[in-house]
Amino acid sequence: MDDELSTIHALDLCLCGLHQRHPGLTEAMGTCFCEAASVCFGRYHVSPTTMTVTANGRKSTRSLHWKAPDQRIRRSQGNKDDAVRDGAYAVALLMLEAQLRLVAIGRIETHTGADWVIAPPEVADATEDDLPNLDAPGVVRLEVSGTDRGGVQSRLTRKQKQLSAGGSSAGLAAIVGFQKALVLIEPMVNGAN
Amino acid sequence: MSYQESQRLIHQAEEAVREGDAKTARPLFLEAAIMQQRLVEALPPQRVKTRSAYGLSVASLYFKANELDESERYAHAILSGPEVEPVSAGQLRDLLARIWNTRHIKSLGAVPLGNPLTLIFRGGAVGSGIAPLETIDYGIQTTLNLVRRFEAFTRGLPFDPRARSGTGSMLRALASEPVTGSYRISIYITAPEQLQIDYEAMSVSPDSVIDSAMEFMDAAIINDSSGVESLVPDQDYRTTLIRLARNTIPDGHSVASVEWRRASHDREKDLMLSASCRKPLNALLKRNSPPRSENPDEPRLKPLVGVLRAVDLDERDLRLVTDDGGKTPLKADVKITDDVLEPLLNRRVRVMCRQEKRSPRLVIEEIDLASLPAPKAPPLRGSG
Repeated sequence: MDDELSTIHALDLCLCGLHQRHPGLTEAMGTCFCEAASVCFGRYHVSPTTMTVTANGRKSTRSLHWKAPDQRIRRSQGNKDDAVRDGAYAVALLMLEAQLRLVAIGRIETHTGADWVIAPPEVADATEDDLPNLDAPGVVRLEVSGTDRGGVQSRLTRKQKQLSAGGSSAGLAAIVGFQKALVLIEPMVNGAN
Repeated sequence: MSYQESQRLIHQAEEAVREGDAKTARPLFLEAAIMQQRLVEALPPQRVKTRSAYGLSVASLYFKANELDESERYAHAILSGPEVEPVSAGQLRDLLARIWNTRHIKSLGAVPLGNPLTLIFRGGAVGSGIAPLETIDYGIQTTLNLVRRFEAFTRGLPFDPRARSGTGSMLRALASEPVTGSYRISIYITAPEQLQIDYEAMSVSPDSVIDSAMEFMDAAIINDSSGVESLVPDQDYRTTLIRLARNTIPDGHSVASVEWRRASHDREKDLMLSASCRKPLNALLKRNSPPRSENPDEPRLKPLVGVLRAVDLDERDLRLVTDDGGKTPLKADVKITDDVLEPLLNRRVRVMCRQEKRSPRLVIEEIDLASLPAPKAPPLRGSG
């Protein structure tokens, strides 16, 4: 691990090496997402950044270490909206792992983007050739949204309604606010069609 | 052939999309679609959620590969299966609507570029799928004018106060399916079909035009002056865009709120506009307008309110018909551009004017929608 990231305490988190713990990420994807997050954080913060994380109603604080992006990374992440999207994936997956012991085992493409399939690490034993098993106990769908400066709670409420609109399928919504250094993770609201 | 291999292809395709290289991206998305389709078809029947979700994924990958027929066919196949998980079913239906819209635009000899901007009107006189035509027309026109002006700015065109449409692309507004309690319209940027590849390779992508317009609005409605300035350093463009942004703000009577929703490649972005956004925009405009030197020969007058009529728009000759029936001849200052002025015609406006020494006409320095006059109480019937 780089010198910059070598003095991380046990409770701190690091935006690096996601693919090593999340089977649903290739190394290229994981690196890309972490770089995007570093560009988004770099607009407002320095490392380590104190993050407020609320997961299933429990609030906690985490110190998040990330490597300051160089000029090349900034250029490659030049599209701000794409960087917010990809950066949010990295931060959300990291927090899900840290707070709820869930890891990404796959991705579901949609016409507007992608959702994630997450599960406890012991369930994440799909073979390389098989599709992630959404029917297995403990496996849930995750929708991630990122915001650069905007409101996080209102975005979360909208996402929850989207997930619940189709029925009672289990799912999680995660919203990452970069300027506010805030992550909200909540299950979808039960019920209404 | 493996799921992991399909993920690698998707990542490569997304990198190509980020670089504006649709030609490289499409075959990669197609190969990933075919791979995932084989995996889905090999699933045992009891894996309902997995089949539904990855059926959606296959259909979406075909869509991203521009294989609309395959995407539609596959979406229908999943939806007509014995059991479909509801969240995926909803997303498959959204995908089908998107395919039909894309085909419709193609039938007009154009192709959609990027993802549409959807306007959702709520409250006031807006019902469920119905709304006063002039209200919707105003909302569409003001939004189109803002996006067109942004297109001119992002393409580096010199500022032109007489600009009436973005050059080189066609903005089309298509009515979408209503959502309960609202009315919605999708605005697509389109281009002639034969020029599609050229547009997709442009350094300023159509997606980025709408994204930039939304980012500008996001900053403007919270009076973020530094944010607005960093997005649009040119003062002429900036003040005009603030005025255009203000024009899009609902009046609170005929429409309570307008939501801007943008489903981009991998995210959804939205803004909520309501009458309360007007105040920060006014403050932003005041801060961004050049200071006016007081000229005793051209005094600034009190604001006037009335319905704006056009006499000769090419000469910028206008008339204000006040509530008492009076008619005041006006001329628009050059900084009040045509795209700001046109949607306000035949509407009740509030103008700030100055009196020019050698002209009988007052010159409009600022203009905005005015609130409707309070309705007059009906006369009481006398008894006896």
